[in-house]
Parts: sequence; C-alpha cells; structure tokens
Amino acid sequence: MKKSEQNGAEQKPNGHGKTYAALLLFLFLQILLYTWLSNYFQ
Amino acid sequence: MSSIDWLVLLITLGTVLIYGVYRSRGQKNLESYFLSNKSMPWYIVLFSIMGTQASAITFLSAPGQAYTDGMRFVQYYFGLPLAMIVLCIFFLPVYHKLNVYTAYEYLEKRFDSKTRLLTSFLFLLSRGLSTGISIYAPSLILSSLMGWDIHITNVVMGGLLIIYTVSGGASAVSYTQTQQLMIIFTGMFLAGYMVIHLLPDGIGFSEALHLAGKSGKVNVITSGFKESGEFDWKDKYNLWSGIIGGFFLAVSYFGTDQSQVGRYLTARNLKESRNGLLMNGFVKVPMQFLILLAGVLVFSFYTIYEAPVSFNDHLTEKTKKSNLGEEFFSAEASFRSIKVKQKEAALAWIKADKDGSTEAAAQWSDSLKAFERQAVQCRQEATSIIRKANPGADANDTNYIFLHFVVHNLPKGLVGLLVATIFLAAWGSIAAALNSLAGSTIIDWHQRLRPKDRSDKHHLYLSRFYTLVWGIFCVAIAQLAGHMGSLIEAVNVLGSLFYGTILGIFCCALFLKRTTAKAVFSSALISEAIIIYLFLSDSVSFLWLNLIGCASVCMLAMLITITRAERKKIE
Repeated sequence: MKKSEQNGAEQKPNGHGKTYAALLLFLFLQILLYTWLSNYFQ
Repeated sequence: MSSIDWLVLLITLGTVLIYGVYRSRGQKNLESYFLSNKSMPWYIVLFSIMGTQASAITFLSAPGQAYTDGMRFVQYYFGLPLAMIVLCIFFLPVYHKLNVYTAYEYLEKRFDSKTRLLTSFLFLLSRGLSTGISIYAPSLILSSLMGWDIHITNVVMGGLLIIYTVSGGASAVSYTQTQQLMIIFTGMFLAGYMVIHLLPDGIGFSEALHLAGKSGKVNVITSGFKESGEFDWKDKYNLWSGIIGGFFLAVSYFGTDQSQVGRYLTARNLKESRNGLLMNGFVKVPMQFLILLAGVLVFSFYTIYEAPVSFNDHLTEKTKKSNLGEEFFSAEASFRSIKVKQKEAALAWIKADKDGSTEAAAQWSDSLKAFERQAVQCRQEATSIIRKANPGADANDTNYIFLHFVVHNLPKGLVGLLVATIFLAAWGSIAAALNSLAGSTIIDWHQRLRPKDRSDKHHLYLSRFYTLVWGIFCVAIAQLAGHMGSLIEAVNVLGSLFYGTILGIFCCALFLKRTTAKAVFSSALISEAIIIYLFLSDSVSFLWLNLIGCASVCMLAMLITITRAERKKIE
C-alpha cells in the first residue's frame, strides 16, 4: 500500500457516493416502514 | 441473585478484563497509545464507535422509555445517518490529512491556541462530569434493585476498567468494546426472546405488539404538531426534532467530541474510518428500534401479568414505611384494580380479534386505551407520593423497568448475563471517555504548555498517569453524585449545552473561511451564554439547543468579522 493511500490523502472526499445514496434510501425506507407500523398497530 | 448468576457475572466480567489486559501489549509511544498505530480495520472502528455511544443507561433507559412513552424515542436517531455522511465528506478528510491526535488540534491550525484551548476545556468539563454520572446512574439502579452497596458498585462500574484502559490505551479500549458489544447483543436478544416465551399460550409476538399498539406504545413516528396545527417546540421526540435537532447533535458528538473522534482516528486509513462511520449510520437506527421493541414487549408482558405501581422497589418500600404510607397504599390498590380490568380487556380483545368480531374488538380496543390512561394517571400519583416521601431522590422509575423485569422474571444464569451486560455497556463508554480525556489533556494542554520535547517513554508514562487521574476523578464524581440531588438531571443534558457551540466553532473553521480567530472566540462565548439562558428559561426542548448554538456561533462570527473588516477599511 502506498503511503498516500495509508493516510488517505489522495482519496476523493466524495468517493463513497453510492454508499451515501444507499444510506439515505435506507433511512427513507425505515421511516416509511415505521410509519406503516405506527398505523397498523394503533 | 443466585450463585449461578454470580458465577456468570464474574466469569463474563473477568474474561473481558483479562482480554483487555492481554490486548494491552506493545504500547511504545503516543501514536500507539492514543491511535493504536492507526491499524484498526473498519469493523473494529464500527464496534468501537457503537460501544462508546451506548452507555449502560442506554440499555436500561431505552426499554423503560418505550414502556412509559412508546417507541417514538427512535426518531431521536434519524439525524444520525445524515450526520455520518456530512462527517465523511467534510470532517474526516481534514483530520486524516492533518494527521491530528485530537479534533481540537485542527482549531489551532485554523484559528489560534486560545480557540483550541477553549474548545478542549469545554470538552474536558462536560465529558469529565458526564462520565462520572454515567458511572453513578447505572450503579444506583443496580445497587437499589440488588441491595448492593452503592460505593462498591461505583468502583466495580468505573474502577475495574481502569486496569486495561491505563495499560492498553486506545487499542485495548477498541478490542474490548468489540467483545463487550457481542455479549450485550446476546443478552438483549435473549431477554427479548424470553419476554415472548413467558407470555401465556395464544399470545405471541404479533398479539403482544397489537396490545402495546392499542395502548399507544407503537407510536414510532410522530409529527410534533398539536391538534390546533401548531408545531410543539417543547415536544422532545418527533420526526422533525429527530431529523434536524438529532442531525446537529450527531454531527457535534461524532465530529467534535474527542471520545468519538479518538475512535475513528485509530482506523488504518481514511477509507476504513469512513466505512466504520457509514456502517454506524446503517445499523444505529435499527439497533435502537430493537431495544425499544424489547421495552414495548415488556409493556405487553405487564399488561397480562401483575405490574408494580412503581418499579423502584427501594423507594417504594421507603414510602410505605413513611407517614405517606397510607396514601401510597391507596394509590397502589387503585392501580391494581385498573390493571386487573386492563388484563381482562386485553384478553377479551385478543379473543374478539381471533374470532373476527370487529365490533367487539373495536370496543375492547377503546377500553384498553381508557384503562392505560387511568393506569398512567395512577402511576403519576404514586410517583408524586414517592417524591414527597423521599425529597431529593429521583422518583422517576423509567430506568428501573427493564432491570426489574429481568431480575424478577428471567431464569437463573440469564439474570447474571443481563447484569453483566449493564456493566460491560458502562465499561465500553467509560473506557473510551477516559482514553479521550487523557488524550486531550496531554496533547492539547500538557504538550502545548510544556512543549520541551521528551522521550516517547516519558510521554507514554504521562499518558497512563493522566488516564489514571481521570479514572479516579470520574469514580470520585460518581461517589459524590448521591449528594448532588437534581443536579444529576442537569448533568445528563450537559452535552447538549456545549455541543452546539463546539460544532459552531468547527463549522466556522471548515466552511466560513473568512471568519477570524478573535471573532470565533467572542461569538463562542456569547453563544454559550445564550444557550445557558435558553436552557434555564426552558424555552425549547434540549435537542434544538444544538442547532441554535451552532447557528448562533456561525452568524455572530460572520457578523463580527465583517464589522471589524469594515471598521479597518474606514480607519
């Protein structure tokens, strides 16, 4: 592993774009699921 | 506790302690002591972050919170995944690029030593006191339920982990946190399974959830708007305070609190740090949801089986013996009669639901809601009597509910394991706090004020010394906490009083390039005064203080910078 890779200096700050989008989608789906649960079990 | 429980407890705690000491080898300098030589893979970083955030009170309080207030507490964590993304994009690259030990080092590079020391001081003050309280709070619950001596419980809760934290530093903290979380998850899963298992035949997971739902406990999402259509700013947990207020709290906590920054700086590289934080964003909300679910199931359990009017046995007994005993007995009798009716309504609803009789089910559902309202009122009356009979004591029994269920209903062995999980959850967060307190003391203060270079050996010795001193300080705070009375509650929200200001300073550093050191320093002091005023005047719920503090520092700093620049131009 290169030294620059080790300290992460050359990695792009936004190199995780897909993971960020997946995380946002996961949160959104959870909110939908919890809203459904709140209504179903009331 | 039975002898089997004691055996399970001692073996579990002993194993973690020995493992911690075993992992303490190979500390040679400050980098190995505070940053584990930057060698940690993302999953250790993840467990370490989670173990640091989840204190003992998290596992005691959250199920109790679900029992009394329902599951809406989970919304408090909705801002966390968003915060993880912001941290990964803006904060992490800066910390890794500058190769810092503490988050506050960056502030000196961007502003000046005064701003760095002020921020570090705010951190040391709030973290030092809150760690003392996070030792005392679970010790108090355990000692009153088990009849243990509070001072000895404090020492076991906050003292034993000092052994591996002093010798092993960040590496021992991270590895033991991983092991601790595994044991905690096993214990919590078994407790959740046992609640369902102990319910009578014909009542399963779905029925238990329906029963809780009928009593308003499955209120996972709430809008925060009153019936009049007005937004309730004092409502603690709703979708908006969770997403917005929770976001600012999480950015401040994970981005600027050294107890968290110190965890992900141990990662091998930027990518591993990011992966650890992002995975935390994925697992935190579901994990908290499951812990709250356990509390809701405990609620259904106590709908079917007899529940005490207060779960704090110790204060209940004291109240019964006091001159308000008669009054308490009367409240207890009314509560019992309501619970009997509530149980009948619950069983009748289940029968009607299974028979497909929708009209009867709707009728029993309304009865369940009405009985729950009466039960809550009765519990409030009993709590008020307990408060009058025991001035200065915390009469709120929310934190006692889950452990009360564990101690009185779970089989031998499992009680010991669950008590061990409480200790381990405390150890995980306290160990990380001690490591970060010592780190900030030596890096931000000692090395800054006494910069003459010394050998690695001397620095390592000092690091261990400061860890020990902070450990003793926190245990001492825990020992004195009993005399602090209502201050304990204030210290619990202490983080929110400072996080907004600290985050504001970091936001100025990262995003407002024009702001000067003097402007940021003055605006931080003014903002802190505003936050303390808002808190004392009880104007808004504490989650909003993070947003207000941050916005206030940024706006004031910009205003002061621009005004000074204009004045200079005129001169």
